[in-house]
Amino acid sequence: MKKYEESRWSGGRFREALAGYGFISGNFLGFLVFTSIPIVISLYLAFTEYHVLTPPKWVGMRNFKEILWCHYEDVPVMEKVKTADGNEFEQIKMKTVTNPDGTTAQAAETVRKLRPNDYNFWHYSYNTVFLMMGIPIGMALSLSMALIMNQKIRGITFWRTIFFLPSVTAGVAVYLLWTWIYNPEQGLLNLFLHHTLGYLGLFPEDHAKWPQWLGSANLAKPSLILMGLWIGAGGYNMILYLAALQGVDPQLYEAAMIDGATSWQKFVHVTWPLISPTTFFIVVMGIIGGFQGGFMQAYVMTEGGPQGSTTTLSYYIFNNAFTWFNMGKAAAIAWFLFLVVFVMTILNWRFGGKKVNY
Amino acid sequence: MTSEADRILAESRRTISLARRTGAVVYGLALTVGVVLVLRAELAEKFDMALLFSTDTRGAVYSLSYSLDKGEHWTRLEEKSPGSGVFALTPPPDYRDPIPVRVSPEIPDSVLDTELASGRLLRPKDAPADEKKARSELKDILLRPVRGIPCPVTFSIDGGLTWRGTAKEAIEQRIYTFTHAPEAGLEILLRARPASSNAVLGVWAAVLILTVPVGLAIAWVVLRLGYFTDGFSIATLVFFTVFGLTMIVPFIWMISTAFKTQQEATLFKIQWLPWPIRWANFADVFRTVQFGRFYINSVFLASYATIGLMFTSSLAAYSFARLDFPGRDKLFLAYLGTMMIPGAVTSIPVFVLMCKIGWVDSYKAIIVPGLFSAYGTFMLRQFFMTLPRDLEDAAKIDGCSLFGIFVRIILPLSKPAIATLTIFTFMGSWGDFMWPLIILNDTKKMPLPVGIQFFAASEYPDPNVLMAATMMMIVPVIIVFILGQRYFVEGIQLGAVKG
Repeated sequence: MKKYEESRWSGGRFREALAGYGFISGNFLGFLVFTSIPIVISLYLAFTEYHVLTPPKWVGMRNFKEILWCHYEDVPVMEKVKTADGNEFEQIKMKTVTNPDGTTAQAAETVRKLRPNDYNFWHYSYNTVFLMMGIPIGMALSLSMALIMNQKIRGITFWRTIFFLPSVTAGVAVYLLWTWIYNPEQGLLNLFLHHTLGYLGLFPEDHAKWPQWLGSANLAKPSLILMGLWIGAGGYNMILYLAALQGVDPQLYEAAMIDGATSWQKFVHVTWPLISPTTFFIVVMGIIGGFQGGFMQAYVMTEGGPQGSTTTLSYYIFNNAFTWFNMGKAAAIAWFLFLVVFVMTILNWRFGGKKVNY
Repeated sequence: MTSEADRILAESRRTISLARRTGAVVYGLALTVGVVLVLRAELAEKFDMALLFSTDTRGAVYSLSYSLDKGEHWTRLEEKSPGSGVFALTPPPDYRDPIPVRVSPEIPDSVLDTELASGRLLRPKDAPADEKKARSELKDILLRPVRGIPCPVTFSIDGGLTWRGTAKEAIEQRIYTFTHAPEAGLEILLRARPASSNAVLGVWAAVLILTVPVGLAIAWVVLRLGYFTDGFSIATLVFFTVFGLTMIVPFIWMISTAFKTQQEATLFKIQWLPWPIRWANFADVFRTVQFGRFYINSVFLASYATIGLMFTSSLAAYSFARLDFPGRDKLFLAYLGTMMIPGAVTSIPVFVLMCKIGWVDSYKAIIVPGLFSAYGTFMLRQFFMTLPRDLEDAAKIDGCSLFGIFVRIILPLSKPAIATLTIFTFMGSWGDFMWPLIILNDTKKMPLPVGIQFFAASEYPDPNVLMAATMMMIVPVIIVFILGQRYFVEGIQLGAVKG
């Protein structure tokens, strides 16, 4: 402050401010055109119906209502019917109704049920959260890797290079590779299981019964998580943890040792609290990334299927915006996503931040 | 007394060192022997004589024979009209079996039954009336030595083709007919398996002799690197090995598949060593899509983005870090604030903007938004803040301009940060998928990730060809990573400063 008061508009200060604006102008232009103005526009678009070719039409909260709200719907009641040969099948339950003129007619019996306006949205939100289960598992893996790597061993660069290879190559090529590995009949995974578990009789002999990793709605998400672990376990998080571990003062361990602490106690009472800022950073980044993630792998490996089981919110936004050109709804979902990320991050700072020990 | 202590000390040192050495040798041998055991079955097969038949577009049949001493040998066989349903395969006239082969598996009764029932297998004309005798004769015929091949041979057809008709005459004329019409480019692999022979024994001996020195070499390296210093380290090494193998095996599988023939790639078994090696997979990639073009596009787009982004970001970062101007801190806060906003939020209006100004399906639409990055600015600013101010003050007194200070002092001092950001930007741009996918329709303009996805999704390539493409995309990245490793690791730690 004092600096300003001394020579607020002297020649030097003025020139410096001018240079400051000049140096920043290129970047600022980009910031304006490709970030800040689009943010405002997309907020506006979220309240409109817009299909690119016609001008946007203001629809108020309709987009948000469509994705977040519910409505009542008359759903037909199904009943189980037994046929003469003992089979069962389901059919719509009928009832007799009396018309105003006294005649009777058969009509489907219905029940009033609360249904989400956009079932897919909730399904895809569930998928997104489900896929984020990989984050804690990956963190545990990365931390244990880092703990083991945190020794004075030569040749650590060699191992680090190998562990890091999957995350540095991550992208379409690796997804294509894993699609091939997950191939139900000729892929490496099933063949490997066949050659190992198969000998113990734990893996079906019949090719037709082999797990369809990406082809079944139940297994597709766990498969993607497994691939994510392979990509991420030895990657960025491990290196962050390693750096944090190397920053821990060895004297603290010595003190703990003198106090007779076991290695588990040392980890819980010395290491874990001291690396908590890194853990916190990884959690925050993981949540931010996790909510926005999952597009590329689903697009390349499963096209969102089977039965939408790998479609995430970012994929849904992509489809709404660039496949169906439903820009208004896409913007609404994107803003909803942003709010979720924002709230999660704030909660993290409020509650997780307290647990960070320094 | 002292000598006694020395003796005990030397003794204990020797035993520890002996234990270490034993451990390292066990580790090295376990590794190499493990690899040999995994490859055992395949190695045995690799020394089979393989006959690879392939057809060209006109239905002409070529045969390729491999032998251990002669290398490969191509013969053009008689030309048949395509779609005739039958084609003939003849071993090339000069085909010689270099190994005395004693074969081998008899055709099981169940296979014979089905072949006979389906009529695919014809009985010889002079087959005995007695069913049992006829069968044994049938086997005899199948296994009878054929002219040119001095020993009995069974053919296994991996492509799943059914074979037909082995009348006695046909065998003697060395003609085998197949019920499927040859598609263009169809390749059929026939194998003659040497069950045991001197050559195979020799090769095995070579493999086993190599196993020991390689294992010992690994043990030597491991000892030199200082593993096995205590008990825990052994566990570490084993853990590293297991984990490292998990990381690397998918890549090995990719490379192995990339060199296989289509038959081998789609076998229902794990096969690590491709044989015969098919280099044409790579040529196939370039023939089906403009893969070279994808490469050039990617290099072009990534270079532009990197150079442009480095220029704008470093200037802005310098401005944020060192220059005083009204509104600086508020602006910086705004930059920080936007970093949390999902890309999806901004990509929609930017796409609309690109539509309005007619930039859709152009390079410009990818390059221009990439020229600016809040993250890059932030990272460099944090780094510039850590630089000492003394040099700048001295330069200022000497009358150096602000831009001069930036170019002559700040930039040279922050080489590591700049190298890191350059690598990260380049890699990010190299792997960028969603935005080019949204903007581009023209195949010619696609960068590598979008192009390879297009290739996989629309051309239905065989897995071996697809893996060849994948390999061509991944290997350069691995090379760049290994060369620039230091900067990667530093960059990750630098990026975490904001936490």
